[in-house]
Amino acid sequence: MKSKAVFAVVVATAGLVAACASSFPPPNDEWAAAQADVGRAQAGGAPSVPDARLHLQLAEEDLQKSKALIGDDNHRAATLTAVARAEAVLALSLAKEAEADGQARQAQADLSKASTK
Amino acid sequence: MNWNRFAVLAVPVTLVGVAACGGERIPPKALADARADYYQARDGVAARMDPTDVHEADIALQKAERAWESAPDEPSTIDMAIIADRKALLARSVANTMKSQQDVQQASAQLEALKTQQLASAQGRLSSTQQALGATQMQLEQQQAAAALQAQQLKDLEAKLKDARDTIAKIASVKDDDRAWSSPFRAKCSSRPPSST
Repeated sequence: MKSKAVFAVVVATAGLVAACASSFPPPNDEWAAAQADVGRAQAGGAPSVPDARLHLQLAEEDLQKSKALIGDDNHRAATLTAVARAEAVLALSLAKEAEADGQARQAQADLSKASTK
Repeated sequence: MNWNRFAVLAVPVTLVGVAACGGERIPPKALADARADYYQARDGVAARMDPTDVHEADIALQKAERAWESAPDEPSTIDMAIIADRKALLARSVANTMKSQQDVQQASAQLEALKTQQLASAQGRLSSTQQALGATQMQLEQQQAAAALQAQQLKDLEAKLKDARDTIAKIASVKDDDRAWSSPFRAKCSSRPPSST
């Protein structure tokens, strides 16, 4: 009688775990959005800025890991996809920051040059 | 004796267990980085320039802290900490970009004002140079007119001189003719016998 109860609890727990795992949908849309963010970072000059390139690379790696996990561990795949998006958005922002910094330096140099004339 | 051995083993194990349970867990590096980067964003220029992203970083950090409290060993907890950290870095990056863009605008405005000032100064110098040039040209024209007048006067004088020379030459030739005519007449007159009177 006792072993039957234990078996029932084990089966119920396993079923619950399986239900939880399968209840998390595959993050296909998020993954596609993350891939688009990576593309924007690549097109936005991230590969030519060292800091941005690092985060772009991390985003690409997280995307690959996430893709491999979809179906098996959708929850982790979703969080990894979110990490990839955060990395890609940061990479693009760092590229823009480097460009804006360069423009600010150039504008200051132009001003200094004109002031000395 | 057995009791003593048990006590020797049990007391340190219990103390270690109590210390482990009672002490704070060391947060993962990703969460520590997220906290540090968020505080830098909150206390730095990002709070003024990009409060929206700072707020999003705050929310992400709170989510990561809750995940750390409830499930510290879950891999997704580290993921959430990384996301919070990246959002904090994003807020700082966006703020730095905005600051640089503001600097560009200010420098461009200053450069434009400087160019306007330099242009006005150059125009002033050009105007005074043009005035000086006009005065010089006027003097030159006056001098040219005076020279032309002098040249005309000289030409007139030369013409008068030539006329005078021509006149003198005519007079001289007339005198010569008179002398030539009067000489034989005088000779005849001198060979004539004296009058009886």
